[in-house]
Amino acid sequence: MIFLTVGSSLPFDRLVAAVDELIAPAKLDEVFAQIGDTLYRPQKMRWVQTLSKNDFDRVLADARFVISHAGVGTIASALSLGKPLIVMPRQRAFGEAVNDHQVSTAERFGAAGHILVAHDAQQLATCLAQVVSFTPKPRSAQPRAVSQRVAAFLNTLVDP
Amino acid sequence: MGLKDFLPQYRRRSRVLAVSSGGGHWVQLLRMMHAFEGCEAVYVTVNRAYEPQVAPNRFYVINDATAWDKVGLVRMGLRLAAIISKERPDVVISTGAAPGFFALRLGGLLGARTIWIDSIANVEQLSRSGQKVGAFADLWLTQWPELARPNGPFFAGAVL
Repeated sequence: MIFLTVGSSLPFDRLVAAVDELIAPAKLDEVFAQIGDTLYRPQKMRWVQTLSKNDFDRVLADARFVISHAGVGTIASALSLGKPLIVMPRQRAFGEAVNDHQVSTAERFGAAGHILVAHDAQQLATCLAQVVSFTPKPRSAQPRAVSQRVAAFLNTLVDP
Repeated sequence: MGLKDFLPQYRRRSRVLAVSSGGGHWVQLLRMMHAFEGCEAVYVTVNRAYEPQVAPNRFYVINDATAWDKVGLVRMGLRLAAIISKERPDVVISTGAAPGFFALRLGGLLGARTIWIDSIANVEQLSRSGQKVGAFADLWLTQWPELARPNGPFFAGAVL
């Protein structure tokens, strides 16, 4: 199963339609989609509007690979499971986001070898051909260091 | 040595109000939960479904809104003002976006110390909220080293 998610809020018709239309030509196996407020109604795949966190985690764990918007929550979840991820960043020009931060996020994580990046349907088709042989580079983050910095600040607030 | 040194330390636990919008912002906020150990942490976000992740801490849901939705932003601001005046936090911390911006400004007005951690999704430049609110925050962090400046934001690592 291939998991398509565009987050649970703003619509992303361009990505959902692109995947739906590529299912036959790219010979994709079963696709399951979380489409949020997207208006486009998929014809060739099962879809839901939102998934609970538990269901999301279960579908993600079962997926062969993932296609999503460039939300850092989704990117982090996929990376932590080592799932190959194809990302299409939302663009302000198409009314998909309030700014283009997803474009630069996608490019940065793509350049680091963590994800594959497609900016349009044509590039998505290319990525779908590449994803079988793509192994995401694991990411090393430092949540403990950041927590320690915050905790050190909180400790300065306690009266001696 | 004064009398104080012989008395037991009855320090009130600091109350931390942790605020974020949904998706990646919330994921990043939770990566810093350990920093709040020893404090009383209260969470505010936009999705009721996140509550089990921080139980048994107090948890508030507010409406979500982007810069496109001025009415929604006003509603959000009023709701946050009500929560902050009820909770009277010692510290307000946020990873963004709009809810964090309002919470830091309102919390600051009521004497809380403030912490802003700019989302990792802001790669090229700090978020709009971050640019506006960071300079007022008592601790201001970025998750990309190249965005750090001598007077803040500071870089202490990336949470994801």
